[in-house]
Amino acid sequence: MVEVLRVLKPGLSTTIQDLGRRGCLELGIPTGGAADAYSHLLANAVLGNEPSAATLEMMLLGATFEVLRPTTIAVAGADMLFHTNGQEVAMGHAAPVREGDIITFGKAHMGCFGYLAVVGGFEGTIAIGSRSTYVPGRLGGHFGRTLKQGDVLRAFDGGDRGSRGDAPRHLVAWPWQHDVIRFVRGPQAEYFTEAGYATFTTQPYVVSPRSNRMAYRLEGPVPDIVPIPRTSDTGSGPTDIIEDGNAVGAIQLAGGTEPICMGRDCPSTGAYAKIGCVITPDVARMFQMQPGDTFGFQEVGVSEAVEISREMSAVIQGFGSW
Amino acid sequence: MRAEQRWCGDQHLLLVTSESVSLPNVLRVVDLNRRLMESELSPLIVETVPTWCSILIHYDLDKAGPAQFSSALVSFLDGVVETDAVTLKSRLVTLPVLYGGAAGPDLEFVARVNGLSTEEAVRRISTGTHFVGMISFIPGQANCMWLEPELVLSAAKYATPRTHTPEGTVGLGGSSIAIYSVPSPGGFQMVGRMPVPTYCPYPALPAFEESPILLRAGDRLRMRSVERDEYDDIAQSVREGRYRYDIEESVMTVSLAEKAVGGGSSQGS
Repeated sequence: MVEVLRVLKPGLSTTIQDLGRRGCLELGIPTGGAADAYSHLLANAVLGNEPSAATLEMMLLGATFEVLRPTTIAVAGADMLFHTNGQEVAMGHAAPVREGDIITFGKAHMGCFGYLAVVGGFEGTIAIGSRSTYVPGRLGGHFGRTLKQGDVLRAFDGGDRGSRGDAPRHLVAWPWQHDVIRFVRGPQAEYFTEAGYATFTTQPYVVSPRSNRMAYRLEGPVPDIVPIPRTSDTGSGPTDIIEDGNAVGAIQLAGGTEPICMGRDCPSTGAYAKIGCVITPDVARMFQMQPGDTFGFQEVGVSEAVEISREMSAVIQGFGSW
Repeated sequence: MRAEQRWCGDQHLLLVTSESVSLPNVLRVVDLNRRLMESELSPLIVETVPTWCSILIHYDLDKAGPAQFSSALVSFLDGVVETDAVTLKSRLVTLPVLYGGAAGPDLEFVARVNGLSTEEAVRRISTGTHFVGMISFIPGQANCMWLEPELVLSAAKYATPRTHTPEGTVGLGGSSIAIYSVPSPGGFQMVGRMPVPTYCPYPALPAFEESPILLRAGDRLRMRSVERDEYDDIAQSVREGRYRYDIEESVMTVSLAEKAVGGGSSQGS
């Protein structure tokens, strides 16, 4: 374990993340992990790291670091104007850095969440099987919190694994394509009319500024709701349901008016009807949108969604052989 | 048994077992979830989220396709024979609570809407047995139902949820008690506060060595009333790492047919 980086400026919200935790949703602890798992995997693949090696996730405004020891880094996800010593460096590139080098990131001009990987992976505390930082629960990562100025980050001494060469540009840019977000109908489809689904799949939606790792709130037309009789168990609101489990990507219609897409740090349960769930590959694209970005929803069937997911898994598994 | 399957995206399936919140219904969920995770389907399942009337299942797409998993689930459910009674591991956990005052600013409101004195409202809560139906929403939040119908209190939730609820707050919403395990927004009426944590991300007390979460679905809670002095003493022992929780391992048997509770103190694992 070696000290590799010192935080000079922490950025807006910078945390240690990996692929998240499994098996603790039934305890109310979210899955967590990189908001855009695809870009996390890509940055690690460039360096020859394990997929689960922890990376730094930066939201909207990146951080500035001083290098404490020679190593190699790679960046994917949001384009945050990655520079070392004032020189722009390509994303998806294995970039050697030396002691005393200054790594800077600025405001994201493409995407929302940027990933900085280091050879060997960042250290971070393991909590319930994951190094991912879950800030509300003070779990994992760097003392369960966002990074602060002066923090020193350690990494596993990965040695020189040799660069695989740059990741192709289309792989780096894939999560930025968010014109269309695909979803599967349900699990509370009976709360919405066909006209409601027509609205949902033809009208534009905009990402609200009140969005974060927990959930993305969306602004746009309200899908037509079926006046289903409510009970004392469901509550009286138009989309109230008996509380049930939340999947990452589930889109609930809160208070009958506001679509909210669940993120990696979402509550384990919710009490509003879900019109649909974003398919796994598109969750990465969803959370690479910035507040103000506009997109449209497209409905797909379950088997089609699974085919797309499997194709994406094959692409990710092929990262090592581009 | 029969249950409805609903898709949630490409990797999740919601298994709906009933349409109303009741003790037998949530017990069916707890029991079915245990059987599912002990069944031959278990290797195909990443994790589950059992709630009042349903189980959200995250299945492993690398091991089974959606149609294959769905039909395996139907076969599993066909083999589940509904019993007249459910027996489950159910620890009896007794936690101290300071009721009313600044610790429970809504106690007087709760007493009034139930037509009771504050003393009687506290007696109903503190002598009751509260079945933990699910852990949900935030880390370790226990959502409970009274096991004694004659003790049940009810109160509407806040019309506009508060932005902050102190850690350890005991809340009443509808006829359900919830324990606010971490500071969070909330809408339940605040009747009291515990000096002991139910969520602890670092094992500052022995009870948290295995998990940061104290309570589990299926546990039964007693929330004994303590005065200010004892509350302060217990809080101090928590800070010094000396506090030991009052947890009795036991099993509980509940009749599903008659909605009556039996057993409860038989010693088990």
